[in-house]
Amino acid sequence: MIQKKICMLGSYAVGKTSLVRQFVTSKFSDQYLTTVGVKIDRKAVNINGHDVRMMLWDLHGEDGYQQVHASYLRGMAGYLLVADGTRPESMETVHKLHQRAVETVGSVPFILLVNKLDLVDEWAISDASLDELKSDGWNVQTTSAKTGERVNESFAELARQMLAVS
Amino acid sequence: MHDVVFGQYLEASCMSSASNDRPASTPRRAVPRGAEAMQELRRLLVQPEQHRLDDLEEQVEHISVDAEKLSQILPEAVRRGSQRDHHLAKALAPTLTDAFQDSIRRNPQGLVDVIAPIMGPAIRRSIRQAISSMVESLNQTLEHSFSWKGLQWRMEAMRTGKPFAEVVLLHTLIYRIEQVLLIHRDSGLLLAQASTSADREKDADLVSGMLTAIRDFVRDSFGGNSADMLDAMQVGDRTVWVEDGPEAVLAVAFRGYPPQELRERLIETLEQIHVDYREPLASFAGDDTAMQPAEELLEPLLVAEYRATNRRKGLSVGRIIGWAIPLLLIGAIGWWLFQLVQDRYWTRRLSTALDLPPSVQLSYDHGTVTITGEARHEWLERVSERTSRFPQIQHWDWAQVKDRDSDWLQFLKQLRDEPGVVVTESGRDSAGYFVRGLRDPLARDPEKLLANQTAVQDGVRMEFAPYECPDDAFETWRATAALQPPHGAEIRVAEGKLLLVGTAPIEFVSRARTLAELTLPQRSTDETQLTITYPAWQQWLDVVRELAGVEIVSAEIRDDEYFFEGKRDPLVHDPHQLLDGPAVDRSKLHLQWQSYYCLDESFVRQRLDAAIKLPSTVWVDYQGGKLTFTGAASHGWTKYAQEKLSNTSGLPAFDLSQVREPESVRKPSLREQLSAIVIEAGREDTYVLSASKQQLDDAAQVIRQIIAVAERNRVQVRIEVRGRGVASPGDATGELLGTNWAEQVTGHLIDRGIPTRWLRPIAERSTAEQRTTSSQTPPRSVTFHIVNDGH
Ligand SMILES: Nc1nc2c(ncn2[C@@H]2O[C@H](COP(=O)(O)OP(=O)(O)O)[C@@H](O)[C@H]2O)c(=O)[nH]1
Ligand SMILES: [Mg+2]
Repeated sequence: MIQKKICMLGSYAVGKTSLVRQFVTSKFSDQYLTTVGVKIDRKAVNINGHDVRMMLWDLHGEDGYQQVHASYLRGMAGYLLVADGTRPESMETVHKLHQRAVETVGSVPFILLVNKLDLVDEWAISDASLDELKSDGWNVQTTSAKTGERVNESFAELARQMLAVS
Repeated sequence: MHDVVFGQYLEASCMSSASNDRPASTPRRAVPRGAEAMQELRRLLVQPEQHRLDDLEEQVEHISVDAEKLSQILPEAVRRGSQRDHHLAKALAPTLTDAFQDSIRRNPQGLVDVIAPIMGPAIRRSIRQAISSMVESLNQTLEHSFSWKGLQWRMEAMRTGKPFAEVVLLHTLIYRIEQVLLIHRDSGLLLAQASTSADREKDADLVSGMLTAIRDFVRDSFGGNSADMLDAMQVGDRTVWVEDGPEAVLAVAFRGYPPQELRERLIETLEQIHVDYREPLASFAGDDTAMQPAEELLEPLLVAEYRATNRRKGLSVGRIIGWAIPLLLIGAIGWWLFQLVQDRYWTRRLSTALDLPPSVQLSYDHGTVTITGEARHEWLERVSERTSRFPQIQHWDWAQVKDRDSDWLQFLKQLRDEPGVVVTESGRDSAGYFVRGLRDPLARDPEKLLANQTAVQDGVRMEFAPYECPDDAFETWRATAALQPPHGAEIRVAEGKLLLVGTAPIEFVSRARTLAELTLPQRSTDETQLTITYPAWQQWLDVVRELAGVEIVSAEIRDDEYFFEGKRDPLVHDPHQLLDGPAVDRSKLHLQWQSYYCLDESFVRQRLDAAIKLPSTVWVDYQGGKLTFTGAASHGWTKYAQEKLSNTSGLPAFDLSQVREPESVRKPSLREQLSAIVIEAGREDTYVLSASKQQLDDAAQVIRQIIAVAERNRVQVRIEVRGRGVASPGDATGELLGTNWAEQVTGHLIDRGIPTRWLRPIAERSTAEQRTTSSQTPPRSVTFHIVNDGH
């Protein structure tokens, strides 16, 4: 059995908890409950005949009051950076957290999920800025925890990349 | 020096052997013959040295070996060298030290990983020794507590070499280990596990992750030193012990109280794992297959220990003491330590959680939080709400903290309770306390209330807008102030009505009704306990009753309206003009008058005067309900009068028969008649003579008539009764006598029915002039004179 620690990183209320819930239980709730500290979930996926158990560390959102401590990030094999398409400032947090992740565990696979795709009309993050990241080699996906669009695929893609590394 | 030479030779020979593979012949044989003399000389000069050089040459030849051979020889050489003496070690030490330090500097973790399993047991051993010496001293305190069991344990202690107290400790414990987790230190991923139930196994990976996260959290929260890792946790009645290794963490979950030994076993197991699985641990990237065999090492940890079933043979005092004292002592120490940690933890946690201001101190003791110092009320309130967040705390002691605002709140409460004062806003800002609200002008002045509250007097700002308090008490005050109830009446506002009690005049009552209607919610009065009086009415009736020319037929009050029926002479004006003072409300007065003729003399005379003009010679006397005309008048006038009077209504019966023809008599005026009367007194007499009786009667008759006229005309007159005594100048007796005469005559007149107030007896002053003028008047006499009365 292969296990991987994956951290969900992003500003508060971008949908980290919702994405994990959608991925693990295929459910979505409009209710917003701040994640305090960390919540750990798990889901097993099969990648090319390998069973991979993803241990998903859903961290509390990064904001002015709470900082994601580096110690939570130790030992992770990959991470999902989550931004809220309707909140441009959530991208800044993504960069900050990405930097912290690199400082803590070095370079491991990650995917940027720009979430709330169902609200794409209200999006305030330009395609151009996402294209720029892509050209820097970032894997950028747009997801919706609400409709489930591209959620499973994105988690699976991360799992694939992690397997390729090890 | 010696070393250097040796070194050069060594070097040279090595080089030569490198160029010429075959071992070289001795140097002596290589020297040519011609040089023999030189050789001999050398032998002679430096023979001893030559020998040594030869020796060395031989040695060097033996040493000449290659690296390959050296590698075979070196270990043996080192072994032998170190067996012989310490020279080798000494020579190598600096190099080794340098190398070692360099290696550590480059890869410290490597050293730690290698050394931890080795050092661990050694360190542990020394700690155990330290603990056991402590237990040993405890042991001494327990020395005298013995029982059968105690003795057994004592024997066990002797047998095993453990201190007695430790044995006791071991025997009293029961525990059961339910799960053992081996967790990858960095990622929190589960490496291997052992568990007493399959159920528990399922979630072991989540538990591992959470456990790691919690420990990360605790470390982050309580300081970043990784040596301070959380190594025990209480979850319900389960305890988790965690032991840290360089790569992996070992966690055991158990119930009960395992011996400290378990810790050691954990550490030993963890160290074993680190030794056995060094490679897979170091390269662990999620695949736990290589770690699975480690479960064999974990399983032995799933132990349970139960208290030996002791056959109770009754509790001897010794046994109880043998058990109780050590347990109590150990419990007490443990408890004390636990409390110490607990107290500090809670004190710190609560201090931050409750946002403790500097003026407040907080202490935690045995589940009780005591708060001392002083604080703002606001803070106290906020905190007491938050206490529910700490269900672990059984008791909060607030009694010792002073509420800085308590005096203020006390004052506010007083203000709120104060009738007629409404507090709409209160609080504290940078300038101090303030309160705003409404105040009935009749309410007590809040400033005065404040004056009693010395503690908060300063800096309280108060703003009160006037308003009318609708409370009954205030309505009562206002009504009382407005109505000023008369003596005997009381008013009170109750349930929005004006309650009137007692006795009160209608004027007051009607004002009260108006007030009630205008100002009170119920707009009405309650008069069930009220007796209404009508003083103005009564007074008016009294006046009317006394009035001449008016007669009351009936007078009554119905529904506060006055119904009056009366008779009135046409000569009398409408009597309500007579009213002064509290007037009867005219709109409520219903008067009904019938005309009638009043036969009082004044009415009769007025009607008479209006009807007929009397000649000066005719007098009318009204007596016994009849008008009697006397005097002189022409017959014609008498006839005219007869007719006129008969046609005039409102006159009584009349008699004109005594009017005679004018020539027959001219009746003197009353004044003339009066002054014509002289009452004489004899020279020697002291009393008025009986002969004067006729004159006295006449005088009385005339005076009566004068009085009637005076009364009718409302003229104030007096009849002077002048007595004259002896007319000798300066004779006082004469004047005295005159007074006497006058008084005597006055008495006679009073006897004849003349009211005293009309009469004034005086002595006639006998001046010379008078004497001459009154020469005809007798020397002793009484005469009468009308005078206007001054007062
Ligand atoms: N419309 C929409 N709402 C979302 C989506 N994902 C999350 N939310 C909502 O955003 C809020 C925050 O979500 P949550 O998962 O708790 O965010 P977290 O703080 O990053 O864990 C919640 O009210 C969610 O219902 C999404 O894809 N679409
Ligand atoms: Mg969340």
